[in-house]
Amino acid sequence: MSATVHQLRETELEYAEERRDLAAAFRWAARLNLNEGVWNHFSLAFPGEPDRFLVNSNRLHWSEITASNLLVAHADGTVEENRKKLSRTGHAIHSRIHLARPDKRCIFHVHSPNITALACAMGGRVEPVHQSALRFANRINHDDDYHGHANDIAEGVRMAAALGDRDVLFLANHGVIVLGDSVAQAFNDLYYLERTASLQVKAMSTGLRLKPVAKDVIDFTAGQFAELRPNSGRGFLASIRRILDREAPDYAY
Amino acid sequence: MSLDIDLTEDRRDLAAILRWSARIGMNEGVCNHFSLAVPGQPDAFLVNPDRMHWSEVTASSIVLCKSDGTVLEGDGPPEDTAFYIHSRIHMARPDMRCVLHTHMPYATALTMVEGGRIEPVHQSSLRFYDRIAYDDEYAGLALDGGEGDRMARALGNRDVMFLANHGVMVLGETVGRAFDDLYYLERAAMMQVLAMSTGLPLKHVPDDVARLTAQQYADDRQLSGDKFLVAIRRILDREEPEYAN
Repeated sequence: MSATVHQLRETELEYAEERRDLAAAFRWAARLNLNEGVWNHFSLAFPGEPDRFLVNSNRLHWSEITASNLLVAHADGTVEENRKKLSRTGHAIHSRIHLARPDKRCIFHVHSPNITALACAMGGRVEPVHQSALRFANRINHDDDYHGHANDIAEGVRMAAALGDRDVLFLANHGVIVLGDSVAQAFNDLYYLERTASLQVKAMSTGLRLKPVAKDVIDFTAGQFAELRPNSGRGFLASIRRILDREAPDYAY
Repeated sequence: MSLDIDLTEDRRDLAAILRWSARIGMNEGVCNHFSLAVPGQPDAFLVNPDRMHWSEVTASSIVLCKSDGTVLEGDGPPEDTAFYIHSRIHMARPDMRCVLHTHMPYATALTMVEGGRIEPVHQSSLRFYDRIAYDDEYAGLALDGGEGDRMARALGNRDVMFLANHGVMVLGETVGRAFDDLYYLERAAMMQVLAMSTGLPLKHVPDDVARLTAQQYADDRQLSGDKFLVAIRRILDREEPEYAN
């Protein structure tokens, strides 16, 4: 373990396991190349407190994130214990969506390659042409108007309105936002969304027409996924944490 | 309850190809399964454990279960779709001990397009000449035996099946042969998808040459697969020997 790693503070112990889940999600996302420089944020609201959330500092690469170097940010943009500041875009996007969606504790925003490629194409949508895509049937909204960097909260408010009551928002010319009840659930959805986008982009590159799934099969399969959703991602995140415990145990401190 | 038969090397072979597949990106989350029937007993098979990333699998973590759902060895039952797909295929195909199912990227991309077929345009594609069944009807998650039976009927007596909007299945008499085919299938699919992405027409091999080459592959099949698996295990023995535990 490197010397710069510090132990969890007294105040961090109550949510130690959720901090570790979030740090593990960052580490695994970096391994999968879902990250971009030191930018983009994953945030987790404290239970019953949509105006207060854990979030990464944009001075750290995702592969450097640990349970204790996560910031505790407030909806007004202040960060507890005068630690590193939250980025302007992190504040604008995450604070407004947490306030708008107290039903979902977890908000992930990425510019992952294949999702983002679809967001850069005219009419780019996740099409119901693979099993994993059916997981997202009727769960995605599309914000087709790009407005520049989300440097003020008005842009976050606009995104929250575009999201509505869905779990996923595609941001044209920009990236994606994925919401979940827990880190495990949000990470699982993010993983499969990028995965299905990567399959679809490859399929489209053949120049052949995408093969549609029948509407009744889409509905049936989406229902199967919905029944599995409450527990979705738990096994995956537990597996990720076991691997990190062996290979990069500093994430947990 | 257990079987009076030593499956240690079978378990190591399965763990080795799961780990190798994770290294080369053929896995997906903690999903998808590789299974191996007990010799002479298609109603009993080894399969990777539920909720475990392929890079973590060890020989002893692999589950041994019966086609009626009884777990003979292991920490718990396999994942539902694994059980329903693999148990039915093993029962239908006692001639092939090993059944591999993945959503590997390039082969899966071909399952998502109209007329997506492995075309005879590369040497490695010719290995699969006349060996692939195409199931063009996606029917949802395989959460009961009916879907496994449907897949088994679509497979017929072939070795490889493309599952529309879903993924692939590869069968083999041994772990080595099945994995060799799975690996080259993804290679062939990758080269074909990349070739198609150029926008140029594919250059098809003449049918007589395709047949000759397919026969050459068939003649070599007994030997080639096991060599690759032996090399994989040698590398894992050095770099992550715990796979064999």
